[in-house]
Amino acid sequence: MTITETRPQAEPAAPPPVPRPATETWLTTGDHKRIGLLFLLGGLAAVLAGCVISALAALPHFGGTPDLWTRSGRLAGANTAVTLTIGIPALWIGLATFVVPLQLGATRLALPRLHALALWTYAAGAGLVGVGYLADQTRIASLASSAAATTFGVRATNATELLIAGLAIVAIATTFAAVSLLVTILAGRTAGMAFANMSVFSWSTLAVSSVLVLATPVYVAGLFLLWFDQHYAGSLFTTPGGAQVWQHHLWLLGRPEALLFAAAGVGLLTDVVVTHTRRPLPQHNLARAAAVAAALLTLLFWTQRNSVLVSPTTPTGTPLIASIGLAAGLVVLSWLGSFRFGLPKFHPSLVAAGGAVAIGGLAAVMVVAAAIAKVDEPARVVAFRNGQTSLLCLGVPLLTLAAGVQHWGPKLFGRVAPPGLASLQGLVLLLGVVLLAAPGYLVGFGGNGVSGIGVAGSVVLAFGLVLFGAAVVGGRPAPANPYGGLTLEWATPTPVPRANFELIPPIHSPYPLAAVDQETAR
Amino acid sequence: MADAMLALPAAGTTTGPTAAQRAKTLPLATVVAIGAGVMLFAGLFAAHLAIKSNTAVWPPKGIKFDYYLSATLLITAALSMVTIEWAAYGIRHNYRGQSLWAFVLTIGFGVAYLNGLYYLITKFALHPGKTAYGTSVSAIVTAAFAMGLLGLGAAMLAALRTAGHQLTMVNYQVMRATAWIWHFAIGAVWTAVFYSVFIAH
Repeated sequence: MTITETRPQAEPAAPPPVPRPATETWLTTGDHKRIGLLFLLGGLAAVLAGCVISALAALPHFGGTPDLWTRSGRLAGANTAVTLTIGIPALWIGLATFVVPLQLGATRLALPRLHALALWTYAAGAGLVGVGYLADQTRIASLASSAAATTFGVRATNATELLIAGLAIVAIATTFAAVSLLVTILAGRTAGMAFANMSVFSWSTLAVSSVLVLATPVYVAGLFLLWFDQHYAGSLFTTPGGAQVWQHHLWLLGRPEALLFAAAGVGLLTDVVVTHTRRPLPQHNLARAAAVAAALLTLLFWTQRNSVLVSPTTPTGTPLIASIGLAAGLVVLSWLGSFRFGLPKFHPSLVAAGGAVAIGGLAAVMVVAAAIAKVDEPARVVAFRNGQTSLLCLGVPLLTLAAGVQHWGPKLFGRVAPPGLASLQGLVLLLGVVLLAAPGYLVGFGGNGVSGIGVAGSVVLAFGLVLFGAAVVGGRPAPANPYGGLTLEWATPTPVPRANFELIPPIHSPYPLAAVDQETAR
Repeated sequence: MADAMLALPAAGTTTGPTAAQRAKTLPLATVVAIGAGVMLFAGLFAAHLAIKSNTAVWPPKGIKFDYYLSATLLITAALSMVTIEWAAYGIRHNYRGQSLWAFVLTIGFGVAYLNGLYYLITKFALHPGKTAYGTSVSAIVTAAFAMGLLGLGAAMLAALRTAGHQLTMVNYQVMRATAWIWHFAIGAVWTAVFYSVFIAH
């Protein structure tokens, strides 16, 4: 008997997977780098739109008046909503989403689908805000007003309700993103990445995300109340006690988010400066504590009894804003202390970083000047506050984020921007912010408001934002670690692969690549 | 230098989180999300109390409280918290049949709770536009309804996954997270609303 064995025929090779179209992979992505870039792009577009809107608002055709910058109008309200409540948060979320997992040695976000949901919900909410403003006259012209308008007995238009819904959806999306970032930091760190070994920016992100998780739902509650009030023509915000609710739930300068993104800059700029000094920061613990404190202190905004004359950005200032300034000042001192071992090597991001510090300093000088000049008449105080808001709520976060984008540009875009163009961008943004704030200060100090200066500021700011694109496109391909950076994100290849790392150094300090450098030198 | 490096998955591969990592991440994410939910209601209650403390007559005349229905909702919520724990017990010990029965009861209680809440909202005659009290209480009760819908959705999803053998003792932490969401969205929220609106008015 013979047994005939038949050799099984080889399985036909599976056809190669059909590559999905790029648009589909970007739309359905859970990759933190792509989500971060999309948030950055959206935030940039929103701030750019805000610049265009604020320039348009001053044109006579749109009802512009010479004192435009001291009154709340439809377009000025749209500018505030688009720039400060949509653009700046999106830019911060984008940068943190891209960079923080790399700094933690993570291969992915802890909750990628939640983060993707946050991205697309954010976009939908921003779209609704735009439609709300374009559709009709909205009654909630701006949350920048310190008191609610009396609307008792008059039902809101559909445009107003769309606007409120849009702002609420953006806020909910912000909460989703903050939850995702927080959980990634708490549970997604690689082996050896103890809390003590996290970079200052990651610590700052931990604090900012925590504040957002605590503060943004309260803002959503305020918007929910506002919707009920407007839809049923109520009087919630104008009854006794209602003014407090408006100021701490909805008013732009009465909520922790008012200065949160400026406070976030403390941690971000520390990483930028330390990288370009090319040595570990001797006062790392101090900088870390101050960066966290600056963010957490913003929660005390809820404890203040705000009014038109007393707010964090009025001439009188407050102990709260002084304490945030103190934390930021300590960090700047820690940088200066490290300079005694050698100055940082020039990089364009340092121009924008210097601009952010200069704007913060200018705002502090203005508070002192206003106290000396006794700026206390309500109309002048409001004008002065508009100037301070432009500097602190827009200028500092924008310059900080510009520094961050230039600094991490090699990882974000895989390219190194031309130094001249990138430096010019920092200077143009600085000039634009100062011009934007100038009319408010002029009126505040008793002069005449010149809306033309503000328009020029918007145009210059828009030009500075457009330079982002030019700097990225015109750059050369970047090496993996162009600055000799010491934090973990610089251990990734450029462009950063899907799983982020090929090799990861052992982590025994906040500057793991410094140990690798020493090992290599031996 | 290479000796000083730890090997990680090669570029281009995404291995996803391990079961242990997921077990750590999901409960943490749930706790953080519930924290955000707590702040949402803290904001609503803070507004309610701020207006209350500045108003002489509170609640406005003419408001009639339905203690019977509101207490019934509280009992329904409490019962549903027990049954969802039973469902979690079933998942944890691989008693799938028990778990499914527990889910049926939980979802039934959830639907009854939402139905009662809807009836309460329509019957309460708060007139949201007439008084600040009406506006704030309407917002609070409607938010409780929305939160209840969220909890019911989470429980229904978990029940469907259990029925489809996707939710077992291996991924018990998904059930644990669902139960926590339920306890917050139905139990804790209605207890807070019941106390602040119906008891401490």
